[in-house]
Amino acid sequence: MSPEESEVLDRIRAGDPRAFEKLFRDHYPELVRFARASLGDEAEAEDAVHDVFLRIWRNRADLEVERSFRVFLFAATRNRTIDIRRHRGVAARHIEPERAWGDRAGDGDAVTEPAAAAPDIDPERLLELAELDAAIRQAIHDLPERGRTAFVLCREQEMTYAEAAAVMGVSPATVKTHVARALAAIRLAARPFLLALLVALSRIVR
Amino acid sequence: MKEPEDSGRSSHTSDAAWSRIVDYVAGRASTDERAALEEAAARDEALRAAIEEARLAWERSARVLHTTVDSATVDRAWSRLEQAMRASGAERPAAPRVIPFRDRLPRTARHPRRSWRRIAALAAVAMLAIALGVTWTLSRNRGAAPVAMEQLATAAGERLPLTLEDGTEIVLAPGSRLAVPVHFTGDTRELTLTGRAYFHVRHDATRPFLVHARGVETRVLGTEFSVDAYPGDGTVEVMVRSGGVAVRRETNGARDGVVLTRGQRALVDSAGPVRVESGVDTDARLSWTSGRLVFDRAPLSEVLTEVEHWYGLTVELRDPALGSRRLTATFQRESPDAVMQIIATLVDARVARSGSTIILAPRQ
Repeated sequence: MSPEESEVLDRIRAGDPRAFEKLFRDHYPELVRFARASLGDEAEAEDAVHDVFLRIWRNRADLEVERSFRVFLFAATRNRTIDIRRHRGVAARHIEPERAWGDRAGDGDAVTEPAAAAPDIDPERLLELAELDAAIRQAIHDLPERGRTAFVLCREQEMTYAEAAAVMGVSPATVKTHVARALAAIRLAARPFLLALLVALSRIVR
Repeated sequence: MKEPEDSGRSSHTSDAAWSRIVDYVAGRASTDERAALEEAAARDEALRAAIEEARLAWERSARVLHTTVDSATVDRAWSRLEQAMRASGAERPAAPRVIPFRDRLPRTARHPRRSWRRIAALAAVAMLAIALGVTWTLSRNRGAAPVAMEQLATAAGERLPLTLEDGTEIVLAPGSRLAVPVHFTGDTRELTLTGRAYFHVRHDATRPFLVHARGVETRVLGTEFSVDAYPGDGTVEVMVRSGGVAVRRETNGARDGVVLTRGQRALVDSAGPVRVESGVDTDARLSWTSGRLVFDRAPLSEVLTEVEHWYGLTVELRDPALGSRRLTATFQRESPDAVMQIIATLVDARVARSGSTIILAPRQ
C-alpha cells in the first residue's frame, strides 16, 4: 500500500474523523453504484455502504488494509451486499420488487408503479433502447453473485482483471471467465432488443 | 477450453472465442489480438454480428449501471454516518462522544502540537451538544444517579439508523425525536420517543427494554417492533414484527395492558380500550425503514398522514370524500412535489399551493 494510504490508515486507527471523512468522500459514490448493481435499489445500496463505513469506524483500532483502501472497501461492500441479499429471503421480495430500479416505458400501469412516470430516455425515439436497457438491467440483476460482481467491477468501475481479482479473492483468469460469461448471459437475455436495435442502426447508416 | 481460432462452425460463442470478443469490445485485447480478430471478422459475417452484439451489450451495460451520486448525496450520507458514529461510539474510549467531553481535556494537554485541532474539535463537540440538546435528567428508576440523555432528531425526509451500546438497532423515522441514555446503567434500558421508530432490541432478560411514547409504555425483552407516536395523530401504534412486547398506558392506575406477538399491532387512543389487530403485513408497513413508502389499497387520508410526516408537509383536503379513495403506490426518492402530483393523478384530483399548505381538490 502507498505511503499516503499508510498514513491515512494510521490516522484512522488513531480515531481522526477528518481522515475518515476524506476516505468516505473519496469512495462513497463508486461503492454506492457497486452496491446498487447487486441490491437493485438505491436506498438499500446507500444503507449498505453506510454500514460498511460504520463498521470500519467502530473497529478502526484493529483496521488492517492489505493492498489498498479501494480493494478493501469494495471487498467489504461486496460482503455486505451478499449478507443483505441472503437476509432478504422470500418474504421480503414482494416489498422489494426486482424492478425497483427499473423504468418500464409505456406500460400504462401507473397505479402500481408511479415511478415509471420519469424514465430518463425519450420514449418515442428510443423505445428500443429503453427496452434494451431494461433487459440488460434485469439480466445483470439475475446473474450469479460472482458473475455480477466481476462484471460490475470490470465494466462500471473499469477495474483491470487483476484489481477485480484482488477484491474478489480469486485469480485474474477466473475474473476474466466470469466477465465473459456475464456478457454472454446479458447478450442472450437482451438478444431480441440487441438485434432489433442493430437492424435499426444499420438502416440509419444506410 | 482452448479452441482453434476459427472452428469453422457458425457459432462464435464458444468460451474461448467469446472471451476474445469480450476482451476486444472491452478494450482489453493486445494489439496483436485486436488485429487477429479484425482480420477474422473481415471474412466472417457471423463473427462481425457477434462482435456488434457484444459491443452494444457492453456499451449499454455501462449506461445501465451508471448513476450519478452527486455531492449533495455524499454530504447527506456523511452527516448521517457522522451521527451514527457518535451514537455508536460508546464502546470505545477513543470515539468522539457528545457527553463526556470533560474527559477529553487532559488529552489536549498531552498533544500540544495538535492542540488547535483539538480545540476546534472541542468547539465542534460543544456546539453539537447544544444542537442536540444534551440534557441531564433524573432516572425514572429509583431516582438514583443522574442519567445523561442524548437527544437525537430527524428532519423531514431523513431517516437515522442507530446502534446502541447494547447492540439494539433503531431506525428513527423522519420528523421524530428520541431521547437515549448515553450509557445504559441500572436494571432497565429506557428511552423516550416522539414520532416513529423501529427497534430491533438485543435480548437481555436481566434488563428489560422500555419505550415511552406519548403516555404509552412498550416493554420488551428482545424483539423487532415499531412505535408510531407522532404528535397530532390521535393514536399511538405499536407493531411487532417478531418476538413479543407488552403495551400499556402510562396513566396512573391504567390496567388495560396488552401483550402483542408477531404480526400484531396495538392502537392506543387517548381514551377507550386498546385495540389489537392480528395478521398485519409488518414487512410492508416497515418498508419505511429502508426508505420506501409502500401503500397497498390504502385510503387517501392515511396516505396523506404518512406523506405529511415523511416530507414535513401540510396537506389540506378540499373534499372530504376524496379521503376515502384508495390507492396503491410505492414512493422512494421522489421529491415532495412529484409525490403530490402522482397522488393527485391517482385519485383524479389537482394540486394547488397556498403558502406552505398543499391543497388537494377534486378535478372539475
